[in-house]
Amino acid sequence: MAFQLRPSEKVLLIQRRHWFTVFVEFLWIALLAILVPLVVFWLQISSEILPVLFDEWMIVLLLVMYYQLILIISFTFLADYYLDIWVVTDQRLIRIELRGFFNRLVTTMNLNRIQDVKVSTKGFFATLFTYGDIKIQTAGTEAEFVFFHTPKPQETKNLIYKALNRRVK
Amino acid sequence: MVNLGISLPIILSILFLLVFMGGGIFLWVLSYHFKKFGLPGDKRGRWFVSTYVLLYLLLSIFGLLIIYTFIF
Repeated sequence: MAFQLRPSEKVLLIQRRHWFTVFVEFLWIALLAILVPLVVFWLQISSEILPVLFDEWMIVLLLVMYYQLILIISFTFLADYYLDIWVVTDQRLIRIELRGFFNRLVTTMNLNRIQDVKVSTKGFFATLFTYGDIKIQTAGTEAEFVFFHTPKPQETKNLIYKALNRRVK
Repeated sequence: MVNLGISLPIILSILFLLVFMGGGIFLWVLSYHFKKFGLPGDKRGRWFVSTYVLLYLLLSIFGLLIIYTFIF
């Protein structure tokens, strides 16, 4: 597991990026998966160069390799989406980020260090699908804690404030 | 077919094996990430990994069958 809970610590929320952000990436992948074979098929029929250079089985083999690469790229996108997690507990915030192979960042912040929570929703799709960024400012010179493209950011902000108020009491 | 001096089927076979092995290592590393850094008891993550590995293996077997049929 990427993080260990403290004794008596309770998880209030586990969140990933909004599904729409990964959907857009997969849309490009799907487009490439459809378009390239269509172009190859069209070249096979209309052009004389391709059939001269390659036998049919070679073209199929090249397409198999192409789909293997497509599969790997899409799996990378999926892993990037699925393994970037934000956890809100009743004591702290935890951000787990996959920054590349063998490069993983786990950041935690105690709730009592929070000074301000800002929510920003930019763009047409962000407004339509209700996702945005949550910026959490801390006391001192520490860097801002940012949750990018989080679904229902206002609700998450309210939850953080509720947890913070309970902690202060 | 155009004579390139070196056999095109052999070049394609080597290329396929490189993609097959490279992709396999890539998938293995990513699967390891899911196992190591995923949430405990996360069935959906395991399902994603299994599906991708299965699809990759099916594609690879298909490619190997093509090589076996047309080269050997």
